[in-house]
Amino acid sequence: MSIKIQNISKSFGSFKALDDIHIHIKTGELVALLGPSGSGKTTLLRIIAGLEAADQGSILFGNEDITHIRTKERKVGFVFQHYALFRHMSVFDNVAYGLKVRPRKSRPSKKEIEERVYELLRLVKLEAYANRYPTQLSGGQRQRVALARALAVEPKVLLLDEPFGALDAKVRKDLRRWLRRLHDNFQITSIFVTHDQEEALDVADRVVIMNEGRIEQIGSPEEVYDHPNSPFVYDFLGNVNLFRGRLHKGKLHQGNFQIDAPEFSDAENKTAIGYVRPHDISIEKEENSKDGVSAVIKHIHVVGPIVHLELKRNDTEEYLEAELTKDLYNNLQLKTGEKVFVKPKQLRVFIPEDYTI
Amino acid sequence: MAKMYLNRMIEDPDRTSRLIEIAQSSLQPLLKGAIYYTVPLTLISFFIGLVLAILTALARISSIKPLQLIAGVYVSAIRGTPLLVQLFIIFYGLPTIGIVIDPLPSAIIGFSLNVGAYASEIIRAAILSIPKGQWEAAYSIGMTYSQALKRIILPQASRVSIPPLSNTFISLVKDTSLASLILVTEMFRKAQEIASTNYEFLLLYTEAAIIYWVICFFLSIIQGKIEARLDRYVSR
Ligand SMILES: Nc1ncnc2c1ncn2[C@@H]1O[C@H](COP(=O)(O)OP(=O)(O)OP(=O)(O)O)[C@@H](O)[C@H]1O
Ligand SMILES: [Mg+2]
Repeated sequence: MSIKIQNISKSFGSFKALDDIHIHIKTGELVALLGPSGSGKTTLLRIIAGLEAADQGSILFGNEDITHIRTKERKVGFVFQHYALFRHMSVFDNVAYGLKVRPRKSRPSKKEIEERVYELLRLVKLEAYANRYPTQLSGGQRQRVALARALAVEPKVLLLDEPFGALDAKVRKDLRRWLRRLHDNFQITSIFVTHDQEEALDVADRVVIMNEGRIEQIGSPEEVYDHPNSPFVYDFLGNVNLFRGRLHKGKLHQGNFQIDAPEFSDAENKTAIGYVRPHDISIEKEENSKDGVSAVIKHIHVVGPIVHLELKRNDTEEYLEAELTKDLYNNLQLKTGEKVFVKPKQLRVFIPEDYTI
Repeated sequence: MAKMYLNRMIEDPDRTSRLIEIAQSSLQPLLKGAIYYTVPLTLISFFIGLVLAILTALARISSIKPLQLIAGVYVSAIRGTPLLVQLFIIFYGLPTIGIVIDPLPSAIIGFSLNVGAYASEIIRAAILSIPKGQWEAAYSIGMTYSQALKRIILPQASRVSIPPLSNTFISLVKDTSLASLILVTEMFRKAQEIASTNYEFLLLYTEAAIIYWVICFFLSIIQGKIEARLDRYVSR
């Protein structure tokens, strides 16, 4: 089922939690809502589920306007940020209840319900725990019960609020891959909230980046990572180095070094900042061209196949981060304290006055 | 005074045996009063009161203003006036406008209204103590309001409200003695009737007190059992 979110706004008192949100989600897509704490992710998800009413705007599932339809009738699966399992019921009943309370004519038989529940418990690897109570489970197990409960009612839309928030890194990684497979097998449309950018980039078809109740950017993980359209997104998705300088006729000048910024060919002496990802910084031992910046290597961390360098610029005394492959690092034979020349391979220039943050 | 009473008992063996005889012979009528009136009056009033309390609690937390108002006025009026006055209004007052109700039904009405008001506050607090997420989770898997209430919220709220509701119940057992004043021949009225023939007030009223105490003692044992049972699965 496709989801159309159209100019949704929501205020709590005088505080604007969501401001004119538009998102179109295609059937079968897995979309991540990514943003810092308080950016309105949960609020948006709750409005889609009907747990909160929008002040303005409409929501369509397929072609049906469901803005004024109650949660119960929306047939969405919702996995809550804090699980919200029914504490007085066993794992089995938690999962079964959505089916048990259906009106008689659409309710499966007792045996069918049991089969369906065990099928789901197998899927979330909790068959052996059917008779336990939520308090007798670990965080990750509760999370999976919550997921099985949401899936039991065969939703067309699955909404997950930080589903892996409380889990450790390894389990998170396993579970999110597993969620991706599950999403594909069930052929549903899913939206999941996270503030972990790696998680969003890893499993989502598209990423919606939110900030202060507004959407900053929507795009595939590659798009938003490689081509952020604002300083905020650059900053939010991974590490970034800043080159502050003056923009003049398609070049960013900083001290006696300059870099091309062709998209600003008619800029006249404006203050600007170049954003460069650590892996877009090249390191040379000799000064081959005019646009290298001299710097000293302060620290070297080898993390698996990637080498992180911390450098200090000799001209501005600012720190820079660079990433290179282990092969390249071995070829260059870099050492702490060594003087090198640093050059941005790719950079994106923003003029701060266009983006008041 | 107390000393004189005891001295007389010890010095006068005849009187002692007379007292024992009165105690024994009055035990049966007193227990009859308890079994035929005190206990049923308590159980019926508590049951009706509990239903009333749940409805009142739901009305007070509903978003419908008139319901909130009616429930609020009811609770305030009952809690703000003496139980005895309420009973008198029902039994002695209403006949003035042509509504005549027998003693026992009058007592049941009075006690039910009373339990309804007090217990509604307990139930309201218990329902509000259940996290909002439990309602939302129930709605999200397709439950209606009444399904969510019956299957998700009330079972959890009941554990929270058992101790204060037991208090209400035990108070009710004792308050039924007030029904004696509107001519219900419950245990305490029986004690009064017997005492008025033989003037052994201390003996009979003490005997009644002991029977009340025994009933309440067993009730608190039952309360403990229920709590342990509910705790099994709502432990956090
Ligand atoms: N019921 C409410 N009443 C008042 N303010 C609210 C309410 N719900 C949310 N807010 C405010 O709206 C803003 C967005 O909240 P929301 O829960 O959507 O953030 P979030 O992006 O999910 O954050 P997090 O990552 O911390 O969960 C916050 O500033 C929050 O304080
Ligand atoms: Mg949130």
